[in-house]
Amino acid sequence: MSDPLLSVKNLQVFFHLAQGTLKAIDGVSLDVKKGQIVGLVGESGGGKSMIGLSILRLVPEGGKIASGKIIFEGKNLLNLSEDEIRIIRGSYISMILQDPLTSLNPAFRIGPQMIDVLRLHKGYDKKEAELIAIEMLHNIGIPDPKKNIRKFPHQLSGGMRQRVVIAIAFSCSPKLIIADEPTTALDVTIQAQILQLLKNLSTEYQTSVLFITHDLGIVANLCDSVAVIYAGEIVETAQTSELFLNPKHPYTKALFQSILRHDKKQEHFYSIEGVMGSHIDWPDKCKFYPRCSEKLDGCEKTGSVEFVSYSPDHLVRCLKYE
Amino acid sequence: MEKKRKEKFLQIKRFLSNGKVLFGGIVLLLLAFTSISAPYIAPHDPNEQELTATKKPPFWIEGGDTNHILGTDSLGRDIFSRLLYGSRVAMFVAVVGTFFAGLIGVTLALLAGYYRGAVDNLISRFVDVWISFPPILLSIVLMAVLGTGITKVALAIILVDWTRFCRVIRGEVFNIREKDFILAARAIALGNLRIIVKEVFPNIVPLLIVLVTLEMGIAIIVEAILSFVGLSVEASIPAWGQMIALGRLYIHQAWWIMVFPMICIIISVLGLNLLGDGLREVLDPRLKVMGMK
Amino acid sequence: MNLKYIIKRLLYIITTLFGVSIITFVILRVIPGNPIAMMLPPQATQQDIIELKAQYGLDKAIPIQYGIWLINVVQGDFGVSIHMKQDVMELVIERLPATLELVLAATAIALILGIFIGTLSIMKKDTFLDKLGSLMAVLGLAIPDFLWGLLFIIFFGVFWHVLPISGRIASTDTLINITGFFLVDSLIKFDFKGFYSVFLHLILPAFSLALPLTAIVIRVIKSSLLEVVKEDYILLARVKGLAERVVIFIHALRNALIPTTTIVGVQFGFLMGGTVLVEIIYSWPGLGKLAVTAIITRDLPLIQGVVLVLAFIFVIVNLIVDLLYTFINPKIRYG
Ligand SMILES: Nc1ncnc2c1ncn2[C@@H]1O[C@H](COP(=O)(O)OP(=O)(O)OP(=O)(O)O)[C@@H](O)[C@H]1O
Ligand SMILES: [Mg+2]
Repeated sequence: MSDPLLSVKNLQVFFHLAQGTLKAIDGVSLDVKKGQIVGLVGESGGGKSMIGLSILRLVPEGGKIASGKIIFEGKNLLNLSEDEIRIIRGSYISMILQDPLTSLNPAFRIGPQMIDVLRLHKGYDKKEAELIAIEMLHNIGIPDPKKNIRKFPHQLSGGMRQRVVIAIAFSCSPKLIIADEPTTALDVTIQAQILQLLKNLSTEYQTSVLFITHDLGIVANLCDSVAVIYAGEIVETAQTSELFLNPKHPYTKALFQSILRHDKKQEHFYSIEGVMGSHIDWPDKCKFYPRCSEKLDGCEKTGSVEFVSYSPDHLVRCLKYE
Repeated sequence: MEKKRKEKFLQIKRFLSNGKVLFGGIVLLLLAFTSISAPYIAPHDPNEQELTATKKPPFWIEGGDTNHILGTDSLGRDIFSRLLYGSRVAMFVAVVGTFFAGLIGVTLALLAGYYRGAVDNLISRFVDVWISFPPILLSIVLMAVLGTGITKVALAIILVDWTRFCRVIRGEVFNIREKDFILAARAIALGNLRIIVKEVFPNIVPLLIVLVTLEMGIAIIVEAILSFVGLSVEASIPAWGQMIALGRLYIHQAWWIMVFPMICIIISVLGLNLLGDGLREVLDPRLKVMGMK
Repeated sequence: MNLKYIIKRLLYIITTLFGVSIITFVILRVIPGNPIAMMLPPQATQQDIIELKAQYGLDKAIPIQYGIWLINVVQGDFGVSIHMKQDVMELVIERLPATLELVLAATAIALILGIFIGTLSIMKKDTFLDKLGSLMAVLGLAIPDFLWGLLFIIFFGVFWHVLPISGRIASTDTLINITGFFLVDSLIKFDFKGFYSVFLHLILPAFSLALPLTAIVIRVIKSSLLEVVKEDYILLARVKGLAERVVIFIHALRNALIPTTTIVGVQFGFLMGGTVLVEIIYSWPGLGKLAVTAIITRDLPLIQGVVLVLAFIFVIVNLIVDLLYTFINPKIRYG
């Protein structure tokens, strides 16, 4: 078995706020193998986007990567200089941000926003870059790309804008793409098209994908393996089929139940009892137990819970299985 | 009771821990102090001419002495005493000018922002026309027509600067009117006047405080400008702008005649601006006062 | 740009100028103080006063006076200056280029300096540069333009004679007046020595006028950049691997400039006012100086003419700023 393309090890991201320390990411480890699509699921505020941004070393202001390693192709990204990490960004690892409607610069036409990455990382001149950009737009199904490349973002529909953002992400054929809920803002039919597009592109370009979502339905169709995150900690990882057949962690189970309820025409995806709340200055113990339906007497007292291997590729972090 | 007092204490502490507020507050207090007590603390009569001791430099420069610590002007008048008396003029126009400019501006802004429609159109249009005059030119024209005198300077400042309050506050009233509590008050049919006074006005107070401090700085500058072109107070009343205009004639022989009143103006305006800035930070960090100079 | 918008703007300009002219008229005639008495020496007789009143049409009722004045103005006749015995429009046009040259130079300096310093201090947050930018923003506003002018005069007039502190050009140089903009005129004639002299003379007055505006530009740019850098498209620019300099100076700045234009438009009016003092201090033969002379000598036709022209410039500049605003904001331009 070869080394994974990306290996996040024991990552911690802290925000030092006036009220105390918020461990937005608290000891996350995660592997993405070559050509794989890995799903990262969890509720809003769980820290999914934060993991994606940390990999590119773009943690929002106020936050700091406190410890851990991010090994990409054998190099620890956290040890690179600012110039070195900039070369990685956009060319080796790129990211599709959460909201397609606001991720394009309203003051520039589509063209220059696509061309600048190509020129920066691939050294094309302006003409070549434009030709490639037009071809990209054509490939991802934008009609009349020659005309649309001259438009401003607000003149395109949401679905079109998302396609442009995806085109930008793929344009330098990166090894890894972090796709942060790329379809949440779109309506259902376009969602399906975009997901298909993403899948095709990742096969075509041999690109690994870290796919962030809160929608287990999408994970089932798209991902090879899954990591479930809760309040900055991964609580369970497994192959997709294994996780769907055999969910172990109470939080994972609760997520599945909420889908079932959703299918029965309930409006909200996440109708798990209670709210995640904030975990500022949270002591070393399970963060989910206040909402857990299967909690044991020990949950409140025990210190940090370690991962347990349920089967070789299936890890779970819960006192029940220790 | 105890708790309330403690809260108040904490609030004051919060204000004072902002360096800008502290500096600005000290400057303002100092100005108030000198303008009230000028007759008691000034070492000389500000108009007393000592013709044997003209253009004496400040005491630390050769030829100066501690009798005139900041030197004398071209007529042998004591600069330090004149500066103290000059702060009276500055404070008078700052306080009176700002108060009435604010009164007019805020009243019209409340009416325009609250009633909107035709009232707002009329008031806003009038403001638009009014600000098309370069403000300094307008105040000079007004002074030429009104004649000199300290109350007339204040009047000119009021007539020119009420628009500053009106424009900024009107926008704020527009926003506030949409808030739930105003809609609720309207729904239970409280009188309009009552809503304006009891509900809308308290909400513009933070912005108003900031505007007032900034406007006081502007008033001091305008008075200095008018004095400078010889259209402010009577020649017998010492004012900073006048001192600057006089000193300008002698900069090659006696720079101090001009420099000290300039320093007074700069520090006063700096203090008032910083006070405004600091208060804005403390009261509401989101408040923006644009278009103010 | 549709027709309705253009008509609306034109109407706005016309009503504003109409309003300005009425207010000037009223202020100069209704407020106590007899302009004729002020025009004449104290020993003038009653007969003199009546004659002079008739000569300037001041014996008629104010609305009629205004009507006559307005009809003449519409035909381009602003009357004759009482004091200088010259056509008002001629006087104004003669002085206008000097003022415009000064104001435009000041605006350019303020924009370039303000944008550069404001942007740099966002990029290099909490460094020395940032602190320097904040200091400039505070001092620029606390020291009004005429005090900057006087400070420079003390410094360059008394201590360090490297820059001229009076007039538009050295008395030893002569320029052939073509446009009235001396920088342009000297270039047209390839008179580089003249150009240099004009340039040097422009520096101090232009900087005096520019520094307060620079402070405002720094503040506006900083506060709008602080908003803009939170946007997703800025994050995407960073995700793409663009250098921070490109992210801020190109991607963020373009968006931050949109609110800046409107503020500069409003400030332009203050700048036109500021020239009054700066022109006096630097003996700059412009409109501001003319206006003060007119006011002090109670030259009614001249005051009216100058005020109206200044107000006209103000509304035109604001129109240009509005057009510029729609131009740099694609959301409006491509609706
Ligand atoms: N700038 C910030 N300052 C303080 N805390 C922050 C900041 N940005 C994010 N956080 C915290 O980090 C945690 C993780 O946020 P993140 O955006 O990664 O969640 P997410 O899983 O992507 O949620 P969503 O599904 O809503 O996108 C949250 O608890 C949030 O409160
Ligand atoms: Mg997210």
